[in-house]
Amino acid sequence: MGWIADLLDEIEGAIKPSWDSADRCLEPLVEIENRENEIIVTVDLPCVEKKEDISLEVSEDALEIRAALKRAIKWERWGVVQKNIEFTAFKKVVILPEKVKPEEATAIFKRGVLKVRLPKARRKFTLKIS
Amino acid sequence: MKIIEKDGVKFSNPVVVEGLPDIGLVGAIAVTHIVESLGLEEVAHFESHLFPPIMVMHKGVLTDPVRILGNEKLLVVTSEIAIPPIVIYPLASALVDWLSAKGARLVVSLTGFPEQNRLEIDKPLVFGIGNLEQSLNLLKEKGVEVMSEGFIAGIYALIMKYCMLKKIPAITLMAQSFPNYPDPGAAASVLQVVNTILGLNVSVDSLLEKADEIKIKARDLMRQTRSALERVGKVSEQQIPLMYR
Repeated sequence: MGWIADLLDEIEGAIKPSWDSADRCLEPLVEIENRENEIIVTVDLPCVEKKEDISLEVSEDALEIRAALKRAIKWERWGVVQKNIEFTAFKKVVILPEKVKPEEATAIFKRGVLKVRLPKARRKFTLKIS
Repeated sequence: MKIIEKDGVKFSNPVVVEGLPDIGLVGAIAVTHIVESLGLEEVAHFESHLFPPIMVMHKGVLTDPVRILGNEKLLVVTSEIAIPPIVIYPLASALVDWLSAKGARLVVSLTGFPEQNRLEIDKPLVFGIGNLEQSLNLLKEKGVEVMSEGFIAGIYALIMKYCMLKKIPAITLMAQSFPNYPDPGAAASVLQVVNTILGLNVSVDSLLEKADEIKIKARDLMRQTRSALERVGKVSEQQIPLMYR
């Protein structure tokens, strides 16, 4: 009955809100790339003007992103609850798939996309074959 | 899968532009802009129990989410929900049967080509695929670079195939795109080529002006589409085929 599970996923995806009305925040789209030595997190942040409007908090296992929108967004013609809310920022906590070294993380913001590189904490040694 | 037509609509060998949600929502963004710019009205909608039980409200009117809009000579196929994998075959087949009955003379599918380096690209390139010699010639005449080897996966692949079986010329235009974010820049590139091929004269600048707004509004559709694409093996487009000729 795989198609029923798929259908339920579709419905859940359609109704799960991508905003937080209490915080007036939108949830951005995020991509996580798990490479051999680092984890790369990219975040789509349309309507965010400059890097100074973004705050990042990194720990060993999570990345928290908050970014102010250049203007408040309101959907006056859409929905029932959400049409009265003014959204002012993006917010997202990304749980990382492996532990990282937060002090070595770097970030760039270009064309509305934030890219954060997080080196993995796992140490590797090269073995000599005798 | 059925296509239910509105009463009194006439067709005169229409050209068809398909932009169902796919990579970067390139086609969906481009056709939504065409519909808004040309003020196209609904002419038909798709009906199937395989769709999620979702209806859309527009100006207080209940509307089906997967629709065909247009006029006698131009039809646009669009969806406001992600296409569930189970619907792909019946939808492509029903669409092409219906288009064949209406005497469609050309089908143009619009989509994105996943480009990992998209952040570094100012103006995405557009590649074309044709299903018949006539469609390939059209692409070459209009100066579109043709993708000559590789895999294509998704609903447009089936639409091209079914059109080929019915001898309907079909092309797919694919622009370099963010794989997982809505990409109005890629939609603008593809729209420029559509303008050249079909002589539509739809403003690309006005699409780019509202790029941020589109990206914010399209987040949910992108999330649903991403999950649907993962289930149809879209990744195969990035593989190198082993072919004997």
